[in-house]
Amino acid sequence: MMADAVSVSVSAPLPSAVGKTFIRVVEVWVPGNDRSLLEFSAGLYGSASRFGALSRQMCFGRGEGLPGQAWEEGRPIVLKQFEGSTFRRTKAAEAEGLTCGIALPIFAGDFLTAVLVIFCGDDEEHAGAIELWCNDPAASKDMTLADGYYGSTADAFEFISRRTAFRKGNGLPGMAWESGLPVFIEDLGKGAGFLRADSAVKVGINRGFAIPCSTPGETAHVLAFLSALATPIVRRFETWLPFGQGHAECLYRSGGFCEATGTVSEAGGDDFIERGQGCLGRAFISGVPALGGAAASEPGAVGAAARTAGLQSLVALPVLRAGRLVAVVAWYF
Amino acid sequence: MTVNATPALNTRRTLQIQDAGMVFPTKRGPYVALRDINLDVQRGEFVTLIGHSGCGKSTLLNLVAGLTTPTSGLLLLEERELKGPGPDRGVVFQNHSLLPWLSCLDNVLLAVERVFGDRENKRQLHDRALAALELVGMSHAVVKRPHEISGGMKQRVGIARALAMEPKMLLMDEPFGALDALTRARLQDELMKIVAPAATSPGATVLMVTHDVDEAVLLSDRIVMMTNGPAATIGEVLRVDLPRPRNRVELAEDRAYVQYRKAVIDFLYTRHSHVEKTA
Amino acid sequence: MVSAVFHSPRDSALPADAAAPVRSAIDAKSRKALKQRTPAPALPRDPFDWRGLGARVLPPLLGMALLVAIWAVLTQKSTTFPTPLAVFDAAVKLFADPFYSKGPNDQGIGWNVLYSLERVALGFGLAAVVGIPLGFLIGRFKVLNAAVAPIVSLLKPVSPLAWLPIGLLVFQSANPAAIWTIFICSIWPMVINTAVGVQRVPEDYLNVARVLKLSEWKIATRILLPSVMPYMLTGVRLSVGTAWLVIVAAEMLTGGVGIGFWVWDEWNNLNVAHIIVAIFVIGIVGLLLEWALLAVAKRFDYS
Repeated sequence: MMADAVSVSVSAPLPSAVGKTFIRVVEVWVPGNDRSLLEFSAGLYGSASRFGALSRQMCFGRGEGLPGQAWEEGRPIVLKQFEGSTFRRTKAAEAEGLTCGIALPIFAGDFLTAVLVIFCGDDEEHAGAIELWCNDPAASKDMTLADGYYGSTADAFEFISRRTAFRKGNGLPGMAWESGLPVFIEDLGKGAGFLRADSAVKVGINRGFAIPCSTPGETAHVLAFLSALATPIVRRFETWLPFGQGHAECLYRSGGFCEATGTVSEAGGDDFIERGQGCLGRAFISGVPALGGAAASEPGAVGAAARTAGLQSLVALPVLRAGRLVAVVAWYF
Repeated sequence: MTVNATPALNTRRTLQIQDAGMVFPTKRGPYVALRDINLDVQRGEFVTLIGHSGCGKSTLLNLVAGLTTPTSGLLLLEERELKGPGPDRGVVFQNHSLLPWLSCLDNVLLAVERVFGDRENKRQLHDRALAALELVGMSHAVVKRPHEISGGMKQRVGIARALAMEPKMLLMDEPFGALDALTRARLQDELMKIVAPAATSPGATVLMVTHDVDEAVLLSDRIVMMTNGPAATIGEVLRVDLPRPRNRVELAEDRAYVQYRKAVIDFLYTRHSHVEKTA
Repeated sequence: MVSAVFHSPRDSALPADAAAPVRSAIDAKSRKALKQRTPAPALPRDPFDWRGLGARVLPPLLGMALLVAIWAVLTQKSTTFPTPLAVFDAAVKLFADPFYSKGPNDQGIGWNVLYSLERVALGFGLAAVVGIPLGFLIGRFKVLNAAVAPIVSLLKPVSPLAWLPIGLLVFQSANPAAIWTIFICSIWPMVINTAVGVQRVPEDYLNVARVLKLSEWKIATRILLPSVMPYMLTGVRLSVGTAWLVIVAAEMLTGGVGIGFWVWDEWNNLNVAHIIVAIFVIGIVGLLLEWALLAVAKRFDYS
C-alpha cells in the first residue's frame, strides 16, 4: 500500500443547512516523498473556507503542529486548548469558531500512511463528546480515558468517563478494542441525564461510534465519538469490509446508521466497491483517507445513499490492524 | 507506621487475580461460570463486586476465599498463590453462620483460638474476642446465644469473628442482604467506621459482593461491574472518588454521588437490555 | 393533644369563668391532665388464669373419665372382665407393697418394672454405643453409606420378635436374648437418624469450619456433634419407645422377671384386673421415659 501524495483539494461545504454536525472540518495530511514533512492532501472545510485556504499552504515536520505531533508520538491527539500548544493555526481556528482538534494517525506497522485531522466547533446546542481511550497491555487489562473533548456540555459524562475503566469487549471503546473494527451503537443505553448542572434539558448521549487506531507499539488506542440524538457527529456512518479471502479485491457494506433513514443493513447482491473505485476504493488501496465533496456522484451504493439522504460530503477512513486493512469507514455529511 | 524499605509496586497489592476462570461440571455439560477475570486490589481498598444474579460474583468471592479452586488462572494473596481457605481471609457470609450452640463470645473465640491459640494463653484469647465484639458494638451480648439476638446483631458478630482473626483481607458476600433497610443502613455506616484507617493501622482491605447500587457507591473505593452469566467477566470498573468519611444524608444530594449511582444503574439496568450493533 | 385534656375530679376545682388568660388556663389544665397521665396507670395484677388451666387440664380428664365410664358400663354385667372399681382395688393392693420379694418369680410390681427397665437400659445402651458412631460414619462417608444402606433397609422392618429365637439360640438364656432383641430393634432409628443428622449439617457451618481451617477432630467435636445432637436425640427417643414396646413382648415369651413376664403370669392366673393394671403401668412408664427424653432434647434445642 504505497501512500501516493494525492493532493486533492476539495472545498465542498460540510452542510450547515439541515442542522449542524459536531464535526466541522476534516483534513488529510500525508508524508511527503522524502518522508520528512506532512503535506496537505485533502480537506473538507464547510463554511470555514479561510481556515481551509490557510491550511492548504502549510506543511508540518515531525512533532510540529497537530498532525506532526500525532506522527511523532504515534498516537491520536486531542487538542482542546489551541493557545500555548504546538498548534500553528490558532487565530484562524478561533476566527472560525473551531474549538477542538483531533489528529488521528494511521500506521501500517511503524509506517505512517496519513494523519486525519478533525476539527469540531463548540456550540451551545451541541451535546457530544470525543474520547480517546487507551490500554497498555503491560500495565493492566483496563482501557481508560486518556483524553476527551466534551464541549461546553456533557460535563457529567466527563466526570464518569474519567473514572471508568472498560474491559475488553465491554462498552463502546471495549468492543472496538476487542474486535479491531469500527463499532457503531445506535443506542448506548446510558439513560437520559442532565448534561449540564444548570440545564433544564434532559438529553441522552446515546449514539456513538468508536474507531480503533492502529499505532506502532503495544498500546491500544480507540477514538470514540458520542452524540446526542439531536446533534449527530456525522449524518451517516457506514462500515465496509474487504470481501474474499487472501488478496481482497473489493469492499462490501456490512452495516451502519443514517440519521435520516435509520439502520443501514448489510448490502446484499453484488453491490461492491472495487479497488480504486471512488473515495472508498481509493482509501482501500492506498490506506490513506479519501475525502469527496460530491457524495452524490460517487459510484454504486455510496452515491445512491448520498442521493437518497441528501448528503453532500464523504470521508473514507481506512482502518488498519497489524499493517493490514480490515475495514473502511464512510462518514457522510 | 513502619516504612517499607523497598516499596516495590507489588507489595501494595494485597490481592491479584490473573486470568481466572471457573467451569463447573454439570449433568448437562460444563457450565462456564467465569472467564478472564483480572483484578488487583490494593491494600486498604474497598472494592465491591456488583452484578445481576447469576453473574458469578459469589463464585468469584468463593475463589478468593479459597472455598473453590479456579479451573484456570491464578490468585495471589500478597504475592503468594492461594491454596484453599484460611484465616488470612476473613469471610462474612450472608447467613451470619454463627454456631447456634455457642455464645457470641464462644463463636468469636473459635476463630481467635484457631489463629492465635498456639501463641497466646486463654486470658489473651479471651481479651481478643472481647475486643472484637466491642468493635462491632456487641459487648452487651457477649454471653447470649445467636437465637437470642436479632439478625443485624448476628451479622455484627459475624463481622467480629472475621475481624478478630486479623486477616489480610475481609471478604463479604452480601453481608447485609438478609436485613431490613434500616438495619442495613446502620450496619453500612458502622462498617465504614470499622474499616476506616486509623492512627495505628491502615484501613482494612475489603472485597464485598452486593447487588445494592447505593451500598456499592456509598462504601466502595472502586466498583467492579460484572457482565451477565454464563461466562461472566468484568465489564467495567468505576473509581469512586467521594471523600471520606461519607455521610449518607449529605451524599443523597451530592451531584457526584448521583452521577456515580446513575453510572452503575446504567450498566446494570439500561445497557443490560438493549441490542448492540457492531461492525 | 386534645385527648389529654379531660376532666378529672381534680380539674373540676377550676373556676368556671376563668376567661383570662384562657390559653394558659387550658394549658394548665392539659398540663395537669398530662401529669396525671404520665405515670402510666398501674395495670391490675393478672388474676390467676383459671381459664387457661381449665383448658389444658379439663379435656384430658374428661376424656379419661369418659373412657372409664364406658368401661364401667360395658363391664357392669360381665363376669370375666373386671370393672374399673375392681381394677382400682387391685391396684391399691399392688402398690401398697410394690417392692416385696418372695422368690425369684414372685416379686413386687416395682421390682418387675425395674428389671424391665434394666434390660431396656442395657440393650438400648449397647445400641447407642454401636449405632451412633456407625451413623456418624455412614453420614460422613458416602461409600459406607452405599454399602450399609441396603442392609439397614432390609433388616429395619423385621419384627423384633422374629429376632428373639436367634437370641435364644446364641445366648442360650432369656436375659441376654431379651437384651439382644432390644438391641437389634432400637439400633436402627439411632443409626439412621444420626446419619441423616450428619448429612444435614448446614453447609454454612461446614464453610465456617473450612474458612477457619479447623482440624478434623475440631470439626467433629465442635461442629458435627452439636449439630447432629438434635437428630441423635430424636433417634434415641424413637428407640426408647420401640425398646419399651419390645421388652414387654420379649419377656412374655421368655419368662423370668420383668413386667412383661408378670403380665403373662397374671394371664395364666386369669387375673385380668392385674393385667389391666400392668397395661396402665407400662403405659405410664413409657410416657415418663418419653417425657424425660423430650426434656433432654429441649435442652439441646438451639432455636
